[in-house]
Formats: sequence, structure tokens, C-alpha cells
Amino acid sequence: MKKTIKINLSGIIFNIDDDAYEKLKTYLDTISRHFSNKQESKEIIDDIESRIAELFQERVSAENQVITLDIVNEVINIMGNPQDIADSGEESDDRSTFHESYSRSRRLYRDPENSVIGGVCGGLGAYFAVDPVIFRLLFVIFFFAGGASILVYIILWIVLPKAETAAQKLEMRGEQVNVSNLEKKIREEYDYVKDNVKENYSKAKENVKENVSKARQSNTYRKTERATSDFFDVLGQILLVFVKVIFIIIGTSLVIAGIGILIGLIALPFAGIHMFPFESYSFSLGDLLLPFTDPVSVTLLIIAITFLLLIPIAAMVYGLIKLIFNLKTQNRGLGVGAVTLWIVSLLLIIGIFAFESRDYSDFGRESLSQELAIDSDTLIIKVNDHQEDYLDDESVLNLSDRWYLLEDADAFYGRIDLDIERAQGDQFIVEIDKDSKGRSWEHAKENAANIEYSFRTHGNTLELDPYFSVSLEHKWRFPRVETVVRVPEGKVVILDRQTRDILEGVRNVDHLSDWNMAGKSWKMTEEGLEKIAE
Amino acid sequence: MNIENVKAQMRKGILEYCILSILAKKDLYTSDIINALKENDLIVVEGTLYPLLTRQKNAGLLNYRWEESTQGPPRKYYSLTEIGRAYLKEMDDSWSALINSVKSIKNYK
Repeated sequence: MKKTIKINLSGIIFNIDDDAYEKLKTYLDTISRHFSNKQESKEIIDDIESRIAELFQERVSAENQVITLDIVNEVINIMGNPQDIADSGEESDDRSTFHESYSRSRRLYRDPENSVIGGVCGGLGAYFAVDPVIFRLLFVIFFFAGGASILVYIILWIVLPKAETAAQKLEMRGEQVNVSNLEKKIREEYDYVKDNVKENYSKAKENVKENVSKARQSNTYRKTERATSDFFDVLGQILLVFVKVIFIIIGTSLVIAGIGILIGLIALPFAGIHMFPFESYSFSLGDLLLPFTDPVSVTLLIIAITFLLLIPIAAMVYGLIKLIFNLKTQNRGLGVGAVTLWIVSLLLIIGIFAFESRDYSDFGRESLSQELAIDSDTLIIKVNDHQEDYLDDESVLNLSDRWYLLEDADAFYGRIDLDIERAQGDQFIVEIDKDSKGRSWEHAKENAANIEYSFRTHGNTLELDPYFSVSLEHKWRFPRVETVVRVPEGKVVILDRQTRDILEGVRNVDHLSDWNMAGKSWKMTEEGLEKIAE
Repeated sequence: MNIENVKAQMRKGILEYCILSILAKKDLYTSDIINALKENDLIVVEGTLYPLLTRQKNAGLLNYRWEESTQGPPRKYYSLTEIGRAYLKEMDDSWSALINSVKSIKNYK
């Protein structure tokens, strides 16, 4: 079964096969395109058409009523190829130049098969034989650069003709217009149409219904209806284009932002960044993770985190680009790979966290208690200023003066807590409690022992380091150091003003806050510390 | 030098002259002209004739009228105009001169 079309050639009706019709139409179009003079071209085509009608008539009979592709091919053979027909119409002396310029001719058209808005970029791409996406990008970039490109686009849209016939499409691509090329092109188009046949069929059915109902209505009503529907069609088209343009602008901004984020993400693990709330000059994600786990895990974590963030953003950017530039590429492998990689990254992060969390499961403490050999009844507690200055200079990371990370991630420092309590005997005592977590009690105790902390006495002065340190070979396992100074009853302790940062929950009868206790002298009484009036 | 090309060029050169000569005897419609030219191996494909006829008509050498046909579409009958006849006369003369020239060249000793 084959679809046939009814055509009128020089006033005679022929039934012609679909494919035969396409070939004949292209043939006639091609001939007419060879003649520069419109009037002359029409006349010649009319003559040729009437001759073809004659030839067709000789070939149809009661048995064979339909013009087939074979008949069309035969007739075209009789008539000759478009090039020869055109040549014979030209003056012989300028024939060769005509021939050359014709066979090389390329024309700018708009490409309706490859269009986002008006097919201008598609046509430009076909003309220059490059991917139209390049032109789309250029238009968008120039739009952001100055905005003039939109005007250029609209002008091109208006000026350039749409490539509708097969010959025009060939010319748009700069391919030579000869019958074999045309045949190829038509076959391509035929396949293209065939793909959409179901959709078109249902549409056509609807159209038929519509037409039938329309036919019942009066003539004038039909006319006005058509006019209004045309009007709304045009309005709709304009609106659609407008929405598309806005969409493209928004989408492109998102794409540019996304690409920025991507570059940032890729750079993050390698380069230093400035980031609120860390008052550091520069540190990297790797430095940040190193106190917690070993370098291998850090590297794995960084890679996993990068993929975890990178893939969704990349997918979004890719999707947007596809939407904006109307790309129809389907790469399932890429998608599946990306999703797999993302899941693997997520699992890796969870795995590392789970593995590392074992190192925090038990608690251990190392305590040290030391009597201070002090003759005086008064103890002055001071803070080692040098340590704070040193950390301010050398650290790359400072978390609200509580934690410091040294440059090159050699060690990290944490602030101690200082408490003042009553001593049982009559000696000043310093107690240091180092706490840490670990995989087991033993490990935790070992970790606690690895915390380095020191203090000094000069005469009746006790100088405390405000920070303990842990070298980076030993990881951060919730280390904590509490220093307790025990003061015998009746003796006096003078808290230097600097101690205000390390005092933590010291009880006193005056109910002063830690902050306000610093810089004052206190006497240990039966009830607790009591402020000595100055 | 392509011999086929040269032959085609020669044929093409005299094709216009031949069309006028055919029409000098009686008015003919396009297919008649085609048949006459085909019989004498002056054209291979028919399509090439139409631009020539149109050009000659536009140059005022030919005229045409429509005649109904019992079978098929109405036919275009071409006839020579006065200018056409004068033109043909001139071409006849130059053709004879050309033939003589070629003959005498061939017999040149």
C-alpha cells in the first residue's frame, strides 16, 4: 500500500506516489532556481510542466493510473538534468563563469530543522559547516557583553529566508545541487518524517474533524475565525519566542554561575581559600581534615566530597545547556557513570566516617598532681603570653581563640580550662587532667598521654600555658585539659587579668563570673573563695 | 580537451539556427520541434530546448499561440516573426559562408 497525491500539471490531474511527487517537485524547484530571471523561469517551468504532463499521459493507462517513481525517473531522463537545462538558457560566453559560481554557491538560510528561536544560528552553522552551538554561544556571550547581538539576531531572522525545499537545504550546506544529492536529502527527510508519522497522523485526524465541523459553518464565520486564529497563532508565536529568550538569558546566567562553582570546587582541595568564619589567611580542606584522620583518608575524603558536590552541579549545568541549546544528545553511559560515581563517593564518605568514629568510642584520662613548693601564703597565677602570640603568628586556622591549627598542619592547640578549688592539706597543688577518646580505654589513655601541656613556677608565681598541644601524628580525639589549682584554706591566690580566658566555672562566695574574677585577689575560706577588698 | 564537450558546444551553437530553420517552413508546437531535433540527433534531452525557445521568443524572433488539443494540455504553437525571418536570413548567409570556409580550409594545399 502506498500513499498517493493528486497533482495538477498544466491543468491535468495526475495521481502520483508520495516519493515520486517529492522527486518531481525537487526537480522542478531545482530547475527554477537555476534561472535568475523570475519571469523567464516561470515561463520555462510552465513549458516543462506541460511537456511532463504530456509524457505522463503517454504513460498512464486504465491499468496503471498512478505515476510512480520509475515514471518520474524516466521523464527526468528525457528532460535532462537541471544543470544542462540552465546552461542552454545562458549566453555561451558567460556560461563557464555561471557554471562555476553556481556549483560553488552557498547561501545563508535559516535552518528550520535545527532551530531554537528562528534557526538563524542553525543556518549560520550549516553555512560555515560548524556546530551551530558555537554561534548560539557567541550570540549569548555578546548579548551579555553589550546586548547588540539580540538586534543582529532579529535582523538576520527577518532578512534570511527559511530553507524549505530540499534544494535550498542543500544550498545552505554548500552541497552541490544535483539529482543524486537531492535524492539523498529527500530520503533523509523522508526518514525524518516517518519518525514523526504517528504524531502527525493523530494530528491530521484532529484536523480532519475540525475541518468537517468548520465546513458546516458559514463562509464568513469561517473567514473571521481563521483570521482570529491566525492572529492568536502569531501572538502565541511571539510570546513563545519571548519566553524562550528570557529562559535562555536566565539559563545562561545559571550556567555561568554553575561553571564558576565547578571551578571553585575543583580548586578548593588544592588552593587556599578565604572563608568566614575562619580568621585565617589561607587553608585548604585537606589541612582542615588532617587533624582528624590519616593523609590517605583525607585524600579519599577530599576526592569523594569533590565528586559529591561536583556531580549534581555539573549535571544541572549540563541539563541547562541541553535545554537552552536544544541539544538532543542522549548519553546514557555518561549519566549512569555519573550517578554511580556519586553514590560511590557518598558511600566512601559514610564509610570513612563510620570507620573513624570507632576511634571515638572510649574515654581515657591521664592525671597528674603536683605540690607546689612555695614558701609564701600567696600564689600568683599568670598566663604565658608568648604562647598566644606565637599561635596568632603561626596558625593557619583559629576557631574563636579556642582551637588553633599550626601552619603545615604540624600540630593543633586547644585552650585549657582552669578551676580553683580548696586543697585538703596546707600546700598549693596543681592537678592536670588530660582527657581524650580512643578506640578502646587503652588507646584513649594513650591518646590522653600524648597531649602536651606544661606550666612553670618562679618564686611564688605559677605560669600556666593557656593552650595544650597535640602533634599531628596523634589525631584529634576530643582532647581536653583541665587544670585545677588547689588552694589551702586561709591562703591567698591572685588571678592575673589574663586568666579570664581560661577560668571555667570557678565557685566563689561573691558569685562573680569567671570573667570578673580575673585580675583580683582571692582568699580561700571555709565556704570557698572570697574576694579580698583592695 | 573533451571531445564530447566540444561536440556538445558545436551542437549548441547551431541549435538556435536549427530551431529557426524548422519553424521557417511551418508553425510547430514544442513536441514537434523536439521530435524533429531528436530525429536529427541535435538534442539528447528535451529540457534544454525550453530555455532556448523562451529566450528566442523574448528576443522577438518567435511568437506563439495556444491551440486546444484533443489529448492532453493545450499546445503552444511557435511561429517566426518578421524579425525572426530577417535573423534567419542572416544566419543562412553566414552558415553558407562558414560551410564554404570550412570546405576550402579542408581542401587547402
